[in-house]
Amino acid sequence: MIIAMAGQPNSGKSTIFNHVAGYKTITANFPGKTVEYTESKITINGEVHTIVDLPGTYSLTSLDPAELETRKYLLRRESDVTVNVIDASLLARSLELTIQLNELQVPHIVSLNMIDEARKKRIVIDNDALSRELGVPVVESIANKGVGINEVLRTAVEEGRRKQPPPQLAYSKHVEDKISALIPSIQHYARQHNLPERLFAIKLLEQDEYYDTLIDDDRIRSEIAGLRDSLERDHGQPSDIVISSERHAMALNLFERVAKVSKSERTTSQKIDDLLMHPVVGYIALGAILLGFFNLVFSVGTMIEEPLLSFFSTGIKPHIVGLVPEGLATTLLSGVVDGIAGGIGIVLPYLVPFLIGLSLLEDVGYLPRIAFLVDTFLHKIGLHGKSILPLILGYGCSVPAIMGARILESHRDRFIVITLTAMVPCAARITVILALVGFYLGANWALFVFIINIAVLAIVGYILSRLMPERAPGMMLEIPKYHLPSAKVVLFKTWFRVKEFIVVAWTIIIVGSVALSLLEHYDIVTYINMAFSPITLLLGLPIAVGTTLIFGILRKELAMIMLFQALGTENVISVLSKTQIMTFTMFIIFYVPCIAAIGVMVRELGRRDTVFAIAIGFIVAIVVGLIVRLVGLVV
Amino acid sequence: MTKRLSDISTDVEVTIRSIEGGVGIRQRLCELGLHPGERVRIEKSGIFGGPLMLRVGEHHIAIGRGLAKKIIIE
Repeated sequence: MIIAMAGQPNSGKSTIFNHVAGYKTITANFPGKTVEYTESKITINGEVHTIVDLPGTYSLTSLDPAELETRKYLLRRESDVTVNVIDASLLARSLELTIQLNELQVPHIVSLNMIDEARKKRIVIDNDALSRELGVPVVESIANKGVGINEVLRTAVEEGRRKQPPPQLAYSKHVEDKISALIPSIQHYARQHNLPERLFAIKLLEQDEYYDTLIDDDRIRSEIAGLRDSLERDHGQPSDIVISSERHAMALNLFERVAKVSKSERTTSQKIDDLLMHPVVGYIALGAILLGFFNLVFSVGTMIEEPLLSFFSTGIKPHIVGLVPEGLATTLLSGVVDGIAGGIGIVLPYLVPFLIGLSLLEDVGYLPRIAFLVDTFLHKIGLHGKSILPLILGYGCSVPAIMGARILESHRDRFIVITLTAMVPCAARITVILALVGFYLGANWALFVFIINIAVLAIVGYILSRLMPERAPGMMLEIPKYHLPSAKVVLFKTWFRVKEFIVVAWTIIIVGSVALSLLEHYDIVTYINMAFSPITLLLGLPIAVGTTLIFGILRKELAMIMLFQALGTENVISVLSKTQIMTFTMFIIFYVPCIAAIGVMVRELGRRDTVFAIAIGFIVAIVVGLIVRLVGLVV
Repeated sequence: MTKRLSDISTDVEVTIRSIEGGVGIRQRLCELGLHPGERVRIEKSGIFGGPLMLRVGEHHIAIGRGLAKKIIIE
């Protein structure tokens, strides 16, 4: 049996899923879409079932791609039963989705989650009454404490067996008349697309774009338009508002019949927000939290990185490489070992604490608050507050940062933010900045590089968001209550993202590392320098620098080491002028993300947009490099 | 003169009359609980013309000021 988990965002749906999902969990994309869902096998009463975690959705009318996919999935009836997870402390609002699930005519059960929160807010819910009114089973749960989850799943399986579609809830007579009037005309379409006719009629009256496109008969279209006009005339609001307001009223009435609320005082969440969302204190707290977060990630990272790397280079590598005879085989093998070490030694020590920290911030509910606080500033360059997260993450490692851009809903925002994130100096590039600019030109110049980088990002962001105007005007997001995160869920999420890194990025690092070894082995440096000569000449750099650029793509931190090798000295200042050092560093920061980052970019954006994003970075790198060169000539 | 949500100061409760703009924006705001007839209160107001944090029923949502301009209140 296939059990689908559906619910509004922040309802604790994924918490339930992560509690029961096993190690065989997979993430998959909906066909041809970037929208993801997760799937796992679970055992309930000795039988194996499939459980699918669908993207959170507020309603079934949305234009949002994730919500659209959730709805399409449910409509295809691939699942046998839906578990509608509800935040019990937000019961009234949540019931609007439940009513639509009834309209969908798919068997479902209600999981009344976070029941402890509801009690704290002094909301008392009569489960039996709710179950009677909705005509579906209702089960209480507290997902982050693991309470009631088995009961939810057992009930879901039973309900799936019954195959009984839930009853319909009635709108006002006026709206019901319009629905009944429309049904005969669209019956044929409903059958053709395997949709419940009543749902089809409601959605057409509600001006739902998706259902609109299914109607290809002009006569029926004008009939629909007439019914919509008549609703609008009689209610003084557009027809979609008429229907959603009625659904809202239905949900409120239902809520009043099944729940009692005593007047509650200010919640702890609101008290915390008085500080964390304060116009002054809020920003200080934000700075402190982010600083603490990065300090933790970097101190844990460096603590682990050094011993791990030396263990690899002295403890393991000589033994493995010694196994084969000297020659091409040694080169290849040492490339593979270096790649594995690069993955374990450099990325994982930073990635794991980083992802744990991110999951914590996410599960506690702080992320939307960060978005609120910085929205003002990002709005000036045409982005929303949420975009700040991947950008900040970029200073650690571009790979998880680019993956982090998934929190943005629109492809346009993801594209712009990922393009910018790839240009944020990651830890490896920061090393280059510090060791070249910081060492030879001084710390102030290094700081200057960071400031210029931010200025360039703001300009590029501004230009891109002007070139790609967005559909929705401004930020719209829910600010959920604070939650105590569950350790199990945080670790599970972290493991899941690490697994993704191992599959996508690590393989690429190893391949890149082998390619590097081969370049060295066959000594094709001259050809590479020739290929890169248009760039090096344009930027006024020695031709020998060309090879370092290739290394920069494979592994950023190698760009500098190879610079020493290419120039034949570690005293760079004896060969390069200060302007050349500055030009080189600036170029390295912007020009092309490392190969692992490109791998995740392809996954997140698709091939075409990855090419665009890289092209933009490359153009920016050339322009910035040229400006530095010209300014250097004048000064 | 029509009053808009963006004109209201914090901690005042108002009733939504209607929402301007296309069907997409209307439906999204409705989903988040901003229906005509609903009571809302601005709890926090972002600095430098930043977003607004609203309380609608039992939950909180943040919307940009541009969106708040599209919400007509009574």
